[in-house]
Amino acid sequence: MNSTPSFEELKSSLAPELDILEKKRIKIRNRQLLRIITFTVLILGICVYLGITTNRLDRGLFLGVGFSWFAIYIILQRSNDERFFYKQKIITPFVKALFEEGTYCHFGGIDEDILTASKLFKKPDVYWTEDFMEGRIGKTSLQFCEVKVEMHPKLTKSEKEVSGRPVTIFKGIMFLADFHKHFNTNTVVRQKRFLRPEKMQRVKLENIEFERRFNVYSMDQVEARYILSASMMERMLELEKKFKRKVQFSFVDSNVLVAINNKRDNFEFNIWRSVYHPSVLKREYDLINALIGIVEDLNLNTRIWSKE
Amino acid sequence: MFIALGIVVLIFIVYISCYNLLIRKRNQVTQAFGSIDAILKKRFDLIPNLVATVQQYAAHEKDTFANITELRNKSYSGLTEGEKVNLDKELSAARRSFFAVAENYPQLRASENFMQLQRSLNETEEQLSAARRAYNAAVTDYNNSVQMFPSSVVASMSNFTPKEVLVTPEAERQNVDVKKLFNS
Repeated sequence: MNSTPSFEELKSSLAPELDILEKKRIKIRNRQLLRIITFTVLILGICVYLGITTNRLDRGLFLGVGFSWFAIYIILQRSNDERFFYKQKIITPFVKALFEEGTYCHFGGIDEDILTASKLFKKPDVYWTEDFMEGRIGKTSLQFCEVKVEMHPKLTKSEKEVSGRPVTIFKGIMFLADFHKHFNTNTVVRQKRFLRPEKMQRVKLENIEFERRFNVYSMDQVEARYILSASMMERMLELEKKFKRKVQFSFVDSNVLVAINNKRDNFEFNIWRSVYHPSVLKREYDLINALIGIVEDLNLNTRIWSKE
Repeated sequence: MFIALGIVVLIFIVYISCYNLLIRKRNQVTQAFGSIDAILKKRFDLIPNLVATVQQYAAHEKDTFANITELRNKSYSGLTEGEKVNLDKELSAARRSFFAVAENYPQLRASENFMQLQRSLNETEEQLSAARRAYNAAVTDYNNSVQMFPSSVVASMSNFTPKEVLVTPEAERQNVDVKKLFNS
């Protein structure tokens, strides 16, 4: 692969698109500001007027502020046009430049069956994905996307009745890559607070720090240790430090699945900040690079075992 | 009377529980040793490839592998426990020699056989290391039960003795720089 283009190189190659996007952004921002001011003045005015005429100014003000907030919320709902433009004209070139054979799909995602097979979560009631990126780094094929996993809270012991709104049990980024060793069973590395998945045994490992951070469960004690060599455990600990987020791993179907907790909605266009602001595109560039860097972090391109 | 009977029953239940626990953990140790044995067998099966590859590209180095060439003529299941332990040592030494010999033979290093064999040897070595770690974890778990109260009392009454963990030989602690071999 050619060397990774620097952020400045990429940004300058996207100058025409950035110009268009910035013009769009200013236009949309001004339109939104105008709407917000108009609606706020209008709603507040009507409510205050009604409050004065009914001798209930306090209630009028209260309702006015409430309705204004609601109106602003509706107005601020993202318009899809500039979102798609941003993803198509800015994020896609980023992916193509940083990956080998890189592709980007706004609505795509890692297959739900892989998530279920990973045993990181039970089969979700709601599985939502976006910003799917796929490609290859050296010999390792990889994909990642933003994911939200929701489950209905179980109300009865029979676990048949479900009620209420589903609860988000994971929001963040899922990363899937081809692992550099062959294995046949499933091994899961979970945060301490999670319980043992069904039909799996606890694997106690020698690395004290690793044991303090994670619980390892597997169907095969030897294979779990084959995957989690001393250096791999260190690398996984470093990975968690790098992202500064809760990270979990599952080794399934000869792949490694990494779930990184992250409440933030990434790869989204912000009309309130200029596209030329130093942090705007840099954050997307750094995040994609950090995710691609997992291949190096976990040493997945070292193919000295029988899997080529 | 009932209190005394209750205490006896309680002691009996604790004894049975501890005894079963010790049996379960000892079986886990045996099972873990079985995994090592299975991977040793896998490594044993690589001997013909190793010998053939060396003979093809570095015929006059075959004396280096005289010991394992001899072992190659036996069947793994026919080996005694002692021979298996020796085999383990011989194969570890042979692996190191194999890589050392390869350093002097560019043709050998470049051959498809060598590359495949190198990958297979690395894989079985890593699997063997994992099996040894699993065995040591099972032994540690078993030893803890043998030495900790109250199961230690049952262990001493029923002749459960601590087992030794496997120690990596000094020579194996020096890692072979396989990356260097690939790149050279």
